[in-house]
Amino acid sequence: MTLMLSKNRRDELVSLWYDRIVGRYPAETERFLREQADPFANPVGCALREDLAPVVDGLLDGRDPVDLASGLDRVIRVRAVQDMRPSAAVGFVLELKEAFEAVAGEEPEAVRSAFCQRVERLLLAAFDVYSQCREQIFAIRVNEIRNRSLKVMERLNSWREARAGGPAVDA
Amino acid sequence: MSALVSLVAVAALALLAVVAVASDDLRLVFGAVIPGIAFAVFLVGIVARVIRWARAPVPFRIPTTAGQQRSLPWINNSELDNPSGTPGVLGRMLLEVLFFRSLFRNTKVELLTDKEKVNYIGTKYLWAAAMAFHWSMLIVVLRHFRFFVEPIPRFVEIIQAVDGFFQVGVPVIYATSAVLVASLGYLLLRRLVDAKVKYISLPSDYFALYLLLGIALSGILMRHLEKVDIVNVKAAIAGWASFQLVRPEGVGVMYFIHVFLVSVLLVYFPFSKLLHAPGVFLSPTRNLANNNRAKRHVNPWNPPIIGHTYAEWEEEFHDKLVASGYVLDKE
Amino acid sequence: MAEKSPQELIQIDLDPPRRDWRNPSVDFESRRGTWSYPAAAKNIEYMGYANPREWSPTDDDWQLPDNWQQIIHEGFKERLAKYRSLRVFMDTCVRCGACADKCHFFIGSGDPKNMPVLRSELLRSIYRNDFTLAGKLLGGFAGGRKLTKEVLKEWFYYFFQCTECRRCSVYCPYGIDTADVTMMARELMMLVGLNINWICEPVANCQRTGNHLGIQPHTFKDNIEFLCEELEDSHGIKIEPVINKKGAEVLFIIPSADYFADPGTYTFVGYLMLFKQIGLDYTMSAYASEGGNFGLFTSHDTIKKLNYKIYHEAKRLGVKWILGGECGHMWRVMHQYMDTMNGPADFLEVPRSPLTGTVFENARATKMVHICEFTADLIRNKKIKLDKSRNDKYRVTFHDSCNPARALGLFEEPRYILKNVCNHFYEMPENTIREHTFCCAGGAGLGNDENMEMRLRGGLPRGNALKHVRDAHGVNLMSCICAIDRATLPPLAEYWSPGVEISGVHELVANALVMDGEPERTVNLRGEPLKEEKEGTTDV
Repeated sequence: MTLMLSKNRRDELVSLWYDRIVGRYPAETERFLREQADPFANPVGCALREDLAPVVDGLLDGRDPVDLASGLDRVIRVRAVQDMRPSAAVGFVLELKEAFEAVAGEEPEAVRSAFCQRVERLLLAAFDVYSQCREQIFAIRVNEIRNRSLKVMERLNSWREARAGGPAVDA
Repeated sequence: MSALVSLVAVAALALLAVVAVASDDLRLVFGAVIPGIAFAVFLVGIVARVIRWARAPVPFRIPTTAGQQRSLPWINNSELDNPSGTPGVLGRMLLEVLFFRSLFRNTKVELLTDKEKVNYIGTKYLWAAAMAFHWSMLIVVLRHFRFFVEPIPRFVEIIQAVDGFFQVGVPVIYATSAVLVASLGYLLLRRLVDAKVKYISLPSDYFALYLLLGIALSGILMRHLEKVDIVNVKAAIAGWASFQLVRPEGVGVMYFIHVFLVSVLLVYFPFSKLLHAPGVFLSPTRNLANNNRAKRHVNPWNPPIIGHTYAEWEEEFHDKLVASGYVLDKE
Repeated sequence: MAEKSPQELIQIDLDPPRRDWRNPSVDFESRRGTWSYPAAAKNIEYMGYANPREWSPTDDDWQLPDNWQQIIHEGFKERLAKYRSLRVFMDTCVRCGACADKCHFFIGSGDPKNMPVLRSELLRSIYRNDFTLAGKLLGGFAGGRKLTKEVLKEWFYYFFQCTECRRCSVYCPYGIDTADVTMMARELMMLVGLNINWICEPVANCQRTGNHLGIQPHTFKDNIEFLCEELEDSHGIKIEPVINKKGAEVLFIIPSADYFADPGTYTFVGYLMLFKQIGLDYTMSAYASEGGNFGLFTSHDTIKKLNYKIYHEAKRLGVKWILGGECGHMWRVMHQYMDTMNGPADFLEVPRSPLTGTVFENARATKMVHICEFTADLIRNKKIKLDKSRNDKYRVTFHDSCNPARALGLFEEPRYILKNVCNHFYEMPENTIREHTFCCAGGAGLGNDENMEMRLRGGLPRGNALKHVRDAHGVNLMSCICAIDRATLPPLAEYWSPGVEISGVHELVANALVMDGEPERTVNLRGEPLKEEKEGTTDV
């Protein structure tokens, strides 16, 4: 079911959500995130600016929150390595609920509760994305040593054994 | 908070000058004694500081390279961003000192919608304000030479004529006065409004800006509102220029505020970040050529350190070296 | 315990309340993943550094010497007298903020204390308090503060969060180099026993065996022979590596990661293939088996100590000049420090390419040539035959490594080579390359795994630019000329821009290099087919 929201309201909702997210950073960082328009000098702010609107649209259109959460990958990926607890890293999704209350408070109860439910499902899906990122970080950490040196050492050791006429199986 | 403390400090200093006008003795002190001492402190302080810098050795040649090095003859090198010799260094320093080249480098990129093309626009506000401030400051200082030197040098007259080109107001409002105040205003506003810059700002950062603003504004008010008698001013200044204690006559309160704040600035200068002015000439990342591999740089205190020698190494791994068939120096 | 409101729960934990940066507090326990483990006592002892002990930053008591403040004060004083750079950098900053958003760690972490100006202020505030009249008279008003244990802990946290990449220095109107400030701060911390193991272990290894990994001469030889035999098996190209040969024309110095860690090994084999093809009379050294020099991240004295072996070995072997492989910080040392510290190299000759006759005037004093300069000259003079199409499966971009970029200005040589060895080359956005290049966030001794979160944060700007060319041009390989990059960029790419591999420049050179009498190439150095297999072709 598509929830109808005027274009203005929808824009207001997106920007309020954005404000609430960047507002949680220290003031001096917030300023930088907002003002530096260059996507290469400010990848964090840029991801927030670009990726929130499609998610809001998708929620209003009633699209699958799992798909929508992957649209938040860039944002969550950053939060997964920044200095915040898991609750804060995905909690930004809940801000959308409050933003919606502020922007669309006088909408019918049915619409509001429908939107809230969708946000909650998005939150769960976002948590999955976050967990994947964290798991990836741990995997990278473990694999790094292996990829760098152990692989070479394993190859080297079997070569040594072969050269010494040891137990290596030669074709 | 930092900003407020500094504002109060500068205001208090200005007030001090106002109070001083009331007393004849203090007029002498504030109009002649203090400026004289301040100027002496300024000169001695700067010279001492520069000597202290210059006496500290430069053990390593560590230029920051911001362009292609000079290597193979068919590769164009960027002499001004990565100088290979003295002319290049001079060019780099000139660009740095006169045009704030490094500050100019701030660029930002805009991604066009088709995501294929990228647009580059400079974020040059800081650079523009810094240029505006420093250049107008220089011209203002040069303009003041007409008070110190008799006859007025030709270049001062030219500067004055150009500066007052627009012929607005009586006496003529100089363009640099307006630019000076505007650029200082911007630099101050930036510190107050940009959270990033606010965070890094110390009380002394605001102090310098308020002080300069106070000097500029009192100067402008003296010229345009108080309409101080130029002949009297000149007489007063001629006094301390010729090392005589002359009590300034016929000058108003703005004159005292102006002169006192300038004195404070002169004293403050050698002990503060305002030292960046001479400092920029001595920065080892900018004033050295990137010819490290072509020309040996000598460290005057090069410590006598010797690493692990080959002989020690060969001795430590002797058996392993022999076992894997290395030829040894020592059998 | 009071229940937290949802608002409190989602508050970002960036060290609130941070009203004023001059009140330090770092909670190491809650910030795991963003700092490196301290140096093991055995490494400190081996190097004869101060205060060897087992400790952790999470301890309350860091077991500092009783007079640690005095030690740092004296050390600071000594360095102010010895380095003009330190004096000028301490005095001239006006806190204009031009550097503030240039640091990859600030961009990625959002932590304001990662702004370069504040990193330097950590030291500068102490300088003002201890050594300036204004600081002594006016204290906090002039920006001074006392050196307390909390300040020292903050030093340890933030000065081991600077990769000494010098990006901020490019934008500074006074040329203040945060890398230099960080080096000084690390020297001072070392005086009271604050070092990290990922720096001190390689240093100790390097001092003893000649290389970071502690590879002893027999393993060194084995390793290299093994890599050559692997090449023979896969490509039918036979290489006899030359080690410790007296009287060779050229001594070839490489970072040890090139012969001991993937993907550096492909680059290493690449060098040797090139030398074989052109018939260069070279030798490697089992004693000078490391070009890298973690002294750069420790102290100036350590740089000199570890760098000693290069000229010493060149003299012993009687070579004419030195050629250096692809490595970043190694080249900062060779270019900016070696001759000054351990020269003059008057027993060597001015480097001259035996194939083209080109005299490398830019290395006239130091007598050490970068392999990219050497190879670019070969290509320009058409001394090697290259088949670009062998790299056709790669769509390549080039990552300027910090040190070759901002300490040498080596921009065109690798690009000239890449454009001659592959058909598809794409630049990343202009403000992320050349002198503006973003660091891999693992340099200066921070490329350890316990610091992974910080590395990934700092790697965001590079990863983001990489992702841009990946999406826009299908880039699938990022080439670079730094051994630390080759180790730290793969995780970075995996997280921020999956699908992009990392290589050295000479790996691609060797892929394209047409060698005399070689069997037809079907696979590249990584053993992958030269052409993408069409779908449906049968697997063997």
